[in-house]
Amino acid sequence: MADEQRQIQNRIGRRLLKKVLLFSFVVTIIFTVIQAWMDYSIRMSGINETIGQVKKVQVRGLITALWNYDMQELAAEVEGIHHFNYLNYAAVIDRGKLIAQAGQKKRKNVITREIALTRDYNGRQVMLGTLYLQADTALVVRDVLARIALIFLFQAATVAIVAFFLLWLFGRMVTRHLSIAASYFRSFNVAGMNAPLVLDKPAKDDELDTLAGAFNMMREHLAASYLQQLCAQQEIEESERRFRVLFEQAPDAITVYDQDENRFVDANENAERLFALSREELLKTGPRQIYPDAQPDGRLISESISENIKLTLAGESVALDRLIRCADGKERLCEVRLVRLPSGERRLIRASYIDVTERRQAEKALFYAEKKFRDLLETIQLIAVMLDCDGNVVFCNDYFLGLTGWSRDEALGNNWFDMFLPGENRETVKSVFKSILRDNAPLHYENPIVTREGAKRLVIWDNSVLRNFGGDVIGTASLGIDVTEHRRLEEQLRQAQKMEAIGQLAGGVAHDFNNILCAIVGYAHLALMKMPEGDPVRGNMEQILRASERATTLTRSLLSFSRKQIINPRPNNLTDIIRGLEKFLSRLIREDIEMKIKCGEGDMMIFADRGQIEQMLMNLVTNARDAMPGGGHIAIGTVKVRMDEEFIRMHGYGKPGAYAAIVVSDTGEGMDAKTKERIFEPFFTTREQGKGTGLGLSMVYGIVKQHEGFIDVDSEQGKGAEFRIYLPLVSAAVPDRQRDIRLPEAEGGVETLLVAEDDEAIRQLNTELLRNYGYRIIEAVDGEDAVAKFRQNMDDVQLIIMDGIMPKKNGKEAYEEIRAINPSVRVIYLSGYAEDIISREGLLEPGTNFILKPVTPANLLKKVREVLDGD
Amino acid sequence: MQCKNRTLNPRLLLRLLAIGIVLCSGSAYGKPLLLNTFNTYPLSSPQGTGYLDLVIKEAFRRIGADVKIVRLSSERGLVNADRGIDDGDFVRIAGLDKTYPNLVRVPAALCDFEFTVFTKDPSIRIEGWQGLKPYNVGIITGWKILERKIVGTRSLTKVGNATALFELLAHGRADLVVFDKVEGDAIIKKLGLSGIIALRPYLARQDMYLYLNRRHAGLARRLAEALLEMKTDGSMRRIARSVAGLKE
Ligand SMILES: Nc1ncnc2c1ncn2[C@@H]1O[C@H](COP(=O)(O)OP(=O)(O)OP(=O)(O)O)[C@@H](O)[C@H]1O
Ligand SMILES: [Mg+2]
Repeated sequence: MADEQRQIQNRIGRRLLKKVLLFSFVVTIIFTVIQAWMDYSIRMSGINETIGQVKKVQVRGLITALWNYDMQELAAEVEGIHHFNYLNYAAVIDRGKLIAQAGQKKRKNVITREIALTRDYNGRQVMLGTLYLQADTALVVRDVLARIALIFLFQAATVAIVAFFLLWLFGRMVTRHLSIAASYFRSFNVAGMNAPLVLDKPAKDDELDTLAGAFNMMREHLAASYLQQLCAQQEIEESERRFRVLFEQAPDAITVYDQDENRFVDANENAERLFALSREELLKTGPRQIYPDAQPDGRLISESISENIKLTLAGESVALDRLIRCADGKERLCEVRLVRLPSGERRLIRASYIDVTERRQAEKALFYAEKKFRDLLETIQLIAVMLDCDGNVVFCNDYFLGLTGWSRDEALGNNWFDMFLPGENRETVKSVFKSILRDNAPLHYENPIVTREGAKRLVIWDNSVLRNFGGDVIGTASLGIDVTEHRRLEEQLRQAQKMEAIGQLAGGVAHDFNNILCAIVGYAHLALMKMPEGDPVRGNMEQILRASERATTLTRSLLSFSRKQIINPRPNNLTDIIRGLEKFLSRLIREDIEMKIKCGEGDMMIFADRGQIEQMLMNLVTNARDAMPGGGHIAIGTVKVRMDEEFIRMHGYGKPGAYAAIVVSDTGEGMDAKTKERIFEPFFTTREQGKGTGLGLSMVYGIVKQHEGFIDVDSEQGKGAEFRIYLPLVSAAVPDRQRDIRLPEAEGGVETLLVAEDDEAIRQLNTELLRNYGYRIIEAVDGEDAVAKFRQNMDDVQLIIMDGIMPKKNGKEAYEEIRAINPSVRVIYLSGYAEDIISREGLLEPGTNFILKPVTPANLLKKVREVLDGD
Repeated sequence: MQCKNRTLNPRLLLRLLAIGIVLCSGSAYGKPLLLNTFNTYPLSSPQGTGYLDLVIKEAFRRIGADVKIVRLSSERGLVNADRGIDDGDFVRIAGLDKTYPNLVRVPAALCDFEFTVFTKDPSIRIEGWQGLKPYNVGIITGWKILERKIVGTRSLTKVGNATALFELLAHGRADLVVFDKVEGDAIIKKLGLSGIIALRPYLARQDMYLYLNRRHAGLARRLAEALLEMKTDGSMRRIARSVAGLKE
């Protein structure tokens, strides 16, 4: 024990001594060096001082001696100077000549100074010589070293003595008490906790007393907390038991895994039951044994388990779905929760398992059921929207987004009424929405919505309210069908049907009217023929015939509109037709109207009746003219257009294919929407009574339809009008262009023709005309005569021109008889009747050549040539 | 008349001015020549009343120059004259121009010196320079003949001036001192020293000259002529007679 005490004393003391000595030594050295340096610099400046002193004191004597050439004095002076401190050499030199010197001259470690020796003589400075001084710095160094050595010696001694005294003092004042404390601590235990630590020294309230006091205080605290600890221990044990019961009786299966032992170290009864293992067996396994490798998260257990253990040990609680393998071979799906157990250094993980096999199956079924409906809503070609009670969009499907052009992010959460309803419908629809929420009615409703571009779409809705589990209304679900297109088509269809109906009606009226006209004209002619020249009634008769002529034209227009007009379509170049008509059209308009024609590039072959197309253009230009009483511009243009699905969808009419579009536009007064709707109706006119028939555009419409084309009009009140006509282009069989373009209006021939016409005047007119054009003509006055004349000239007659309706034998009967004689003979019928009337009477067969009366000479000549040239 | 005097003829004034300029230029360098000497009374005195002072002044006057005389120790006098600090130095033995190449001797003796041994010991007999050897001797620094001749004595003390020299002797620091007889006698008398005797015969007798710095070499001839003239016309003698204490 005494030995240990000494050791303590020795150790601290010696260390203290060593450190004090070392420190003092270093400090001494530092101070000594500083002192040496200071000493050195003082002495070095001493040299300068010495030299200064020499200058002050000695130089005067030196000058006097030099002046007087008192060499002894000079030598003595120099000798005296050389004995000054550190001066090792002094000399007087005059003009390079050494006059006197003392001491030893050195080469190294010296400072040299030269002092000029001058004397004032006769008012000027006489240079007597130079005092040359050398100071030996080595001497300085030697002196300094000697002095420093001494100082160092003394200081070292002082330090040593103080250090040893300190050591002794330290032993007495500190180490001794430490030893006492040490031996006290060594014997300190729980039993002796009540005996205080007492030091062998008067209390001075120094650090040792503080230490002893602090220790004694700690000892008392310790005693107190020891007591507490005892109580706590008991409490912990009790709590431990409580937790054990909690653990064992927990509804979950629980295991405790020790990472270091790599096995379960605890498990409750439910775990035994779940895994179908006894506790002993369970404690031999670990998590790696209880999971099959394939897991619902798609990762292999061998990959994920370490990661999850690491996460858990890092303090996170991990929850996952895991398949576990039970001892009986079954696999169960469990919700597993992992959490690190607080357990000091040990790395314990508590896992709880809830068997969710059944629950998950149910959830899955629910999920798929829901998904089915969701998928249905998403893919359905109907609008599906759900709103909450405030009208905010909570769901909408892709179809809806595609229709409106908004993105889902933009649509969701926004107010339906503000975003998707046109302002004028907003309030009404809002109130409907409220009534749906309140009364679940009306279930069907129709209102427009606006798209992102601002277009309106008409939607028919099927609504139902949405309820939560409690049955409270939480919003509405609506399915909508976009009927915009549908309605438009309906409208178009309605329009078409209307036109059709009107056409039928007009056609019917025209037929009957035509019959009546024929009778009127016929009898009027007869009456006129039988009337002597100068008969006063003759003028009246002529008036009847003139009016009838007008009526005929009118009828023809109506027939044109109802597409009952007989047309002779053939491939025609639209450009040629327009170019050929240009002059005529320009005569049609007034001077204050400017007309421009701009045809598209290349041929535009259409299969059309040239006369009809001309008629159509004339009507359009006339209308344009009439719409511009104050003058303006008319533009006629053609362009090739391809109608595709897009075009048809956009315009709501058309048939895929290539078309020639004729555009006739004017800068006239235009028309309002109401007018526009009706312009094609026959007899619709805005002109004052008697000025217009209202048949112009009806005819145009009929012609277009008869050519399987489309017509469209764009116009606004005061902003002019633009009519667009689309006629199908024919690509193949471009006919002889020459003939088309310069179709000789009156091409004649030398063939023999049989002209059968009961009307004397007409017969004569026609025969004369044909004869003029070179044909040989055989005349027949009625049907019978026609047959008889044919028989006589059977071999010569190449073509018969026959009135359809004649006395004795009508055209058809005569034709039948002639055909019996020569079945290959060609016939052109002339008639005031529409084709179907004639065919209804059994006169015509399809393909029959036919000219409608009144026959213009050009038409007749043309037709004759056509038939003769045709095969 | 007065009136006339006041309105001085400008032509006359011009003439006077011209004469003035000629006179000034005639006076050699304008400034008086500075001559130094170590001689003492009766040869020279600070008041300029010594024999040599008077003679030299007269001689320079005769060649139309002015002089100023300063007193220096012997060696310093030589050095100053040689270095041109002073313009000349007197009086010196002949031949110094060999040692001091910048000195030019005026070739007419001003006086002669008897180099005599002074002592307090009447028993001493000196025959020639060699006879000095066993003694402690004192001389004046810069006396070239003595410095040359007196070598190998028991001790040789050089002092700066005559007073110091005879004090040396009086206080027994030297057995004997060598000095010019005339001046020595005068100093002994001036200092009131007793018991000092001048030994006979003298060690040497030398003619003494004035030396000029080389830059005044041109003056040397004219000075010598002036001095000769003074000798022949009796001016020298007259001056000698006017200086008290100077025996023939
Ligand atoms: N270019 C046009 N600009 C303005 N309105 C037009 C134009 N073309 C036709 N209309 C309107 O359509 C109506 C019907 O025209 P339509 O050609 O069928 O008959 P109309 O010109 O009135 O009579 P008609 O042609 O028998 O002389 C016209 O009355 C006019 O209101
Ligand atoms: Mg019209």
